[in-house]
Amino acid sequence: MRWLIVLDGTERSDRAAAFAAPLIRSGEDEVLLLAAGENLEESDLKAALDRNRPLFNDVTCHEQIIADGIAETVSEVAEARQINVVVYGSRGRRGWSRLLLGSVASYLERHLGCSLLVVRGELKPMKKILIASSLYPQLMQPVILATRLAQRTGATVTLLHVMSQLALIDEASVAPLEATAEEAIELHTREGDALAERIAYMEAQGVQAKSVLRHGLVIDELVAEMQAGRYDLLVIGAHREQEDIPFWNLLAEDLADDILMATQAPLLIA
Amino acid sequence: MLLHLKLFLRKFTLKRLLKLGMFVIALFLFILALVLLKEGARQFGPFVRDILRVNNAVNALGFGWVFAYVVMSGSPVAAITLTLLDAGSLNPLEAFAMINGSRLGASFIVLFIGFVYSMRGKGKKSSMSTGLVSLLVTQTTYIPALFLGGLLLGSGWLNGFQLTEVSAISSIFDIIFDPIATLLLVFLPRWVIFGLGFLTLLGSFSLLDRSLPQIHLEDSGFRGMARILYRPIFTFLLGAAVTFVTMSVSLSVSILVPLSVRGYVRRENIIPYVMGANITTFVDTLVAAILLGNHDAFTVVLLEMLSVAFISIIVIISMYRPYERMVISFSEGILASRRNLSLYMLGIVGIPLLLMLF
Repeated sequence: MRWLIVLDGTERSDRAAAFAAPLIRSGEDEVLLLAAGENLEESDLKAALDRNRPLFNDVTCHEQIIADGIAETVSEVAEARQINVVVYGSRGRRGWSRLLLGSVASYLERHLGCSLLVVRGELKPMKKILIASSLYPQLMQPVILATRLAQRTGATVTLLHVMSQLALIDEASVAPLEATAEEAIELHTREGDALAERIAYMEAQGVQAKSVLRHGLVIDELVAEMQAGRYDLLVIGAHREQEDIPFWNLLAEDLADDILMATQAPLLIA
Repeated sequence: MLLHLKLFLRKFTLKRLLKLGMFVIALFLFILALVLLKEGARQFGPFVRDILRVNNAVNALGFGWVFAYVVMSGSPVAAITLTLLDAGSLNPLEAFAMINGSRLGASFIVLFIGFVYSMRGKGKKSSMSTGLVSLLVTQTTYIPALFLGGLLLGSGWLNGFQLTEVSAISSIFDIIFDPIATLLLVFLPRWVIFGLGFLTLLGSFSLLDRSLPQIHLEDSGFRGMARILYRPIFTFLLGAAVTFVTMSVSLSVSILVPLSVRGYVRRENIIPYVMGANITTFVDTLVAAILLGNHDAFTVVLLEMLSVAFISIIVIISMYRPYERMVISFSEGILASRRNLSLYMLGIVGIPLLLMLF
């Protein structure tokens, strides 16, 4: 995998680099340390590289300095260098400051063509990973990436799916709307089969995994599970722009952005 | 030219032609019903005010609400209200309240059937959720809209709006339908004509439901549809647009079925969809007001639509997520036990009956 670690001279970007370091494997991965930021002296950016370089002594590591806006720079470099995962230490702006100044993490989440690891909140050794994803067959990327990280860290994985549906017609079978993950798997509901397939994939890769089905509003249930399980990393599917659909940004709700706002733990948008 | 006509006709299957025919007949019956109700209602002033005791906005609200329960639909009640307004049996504020009440009572039947099943222990509670959420959305938007619309009506805000073109349309229909009403008046008393109008109206709505185009939202490979439906303002507009065509909230909601072949709809999607549908469901009532050529009737319906739209948009823009949580948790609380469900049912039956006593 190719990793891009964003360093902007702040403590939070140093923390992000330190959080990512144990996830990167020598021989398998490459790292690009990108020191970037507007209104920063080159010496500050060089100092950021010097501080973080020792973390990646064992892996192939490249460096680049670009004294320009982070959001656009990272997007361009990630595309040019065919990066797989961008690591960014988020400031975690909320409320009015987010509305007025915007959020780099939010911009990257929408524009990057690769995965984004947003590092924020309390950082702990990675022991528990939560994957929250819809169960469309084509959305396997969060499971694949979380499995690789779990293999590297020995973390256990919980796969969460939120059933927020209501029955619309009398003929609707309501059993799946109330089932636990175990019941759904046993009943071979659509969700049950998809959960079982993903759990089997992770177990085949040597990862200890289990599934959870919650019922309610998607964001609320996700936050509740994060709090109940005290997970160290949340992995979700990306909600990228679809350039072939006009006014996509205007039309589509950005759940990834809502999750960025609603949770505090490190978040991997795969 | 002839070739074009042939190609055009080939495109129309017999089924489509049949639907078109049904639509024309339904429209004819709808206008005829309005004319009959209008003529019949002229005698109903004392009956409505003294016997039914509909003589203020509060009991008009209760009456419209209960009347919608009885006829299991809101649209016929709203249309009849306009004819009573036209005949002078109701003033604009009473008509506004009665139409508001008709919407509050409109979706009761879905819940009532579910309630009966649930009392019989047939485990239908989960299938009542959508009907209940829909009803709670209606109750929480129409009641504030009632106060807002009442204030605006009192202020005369829409009085400057004139109905010149509208009056011209109604004059054309008068030429066709007035002779029918005049002929019937020779042989039948006005109360029979009113009853005949009422039955014709129910028939026209039933025919209209069957003749309107069926819209399908696909459960397709277009995964983006699910994401688009998560944007409340978009779902709100979609609900409004679909109901503009179907004119029925319940029909519009059922159009969502193909999105999930299993007959589910996401909690996040149903609330703004119903909010949008609740506005354009007045399209048939607005048409009725235009056909009656009554300025006050038109103002009342327009104000109803504007006040519900205003409340809904404010909720969506400023407090959507808390509102969504409130509606969902309230509906779950009601469905949590038979006792809660019974209390809620008692409330929504008892409140309008109490209002009628004012």
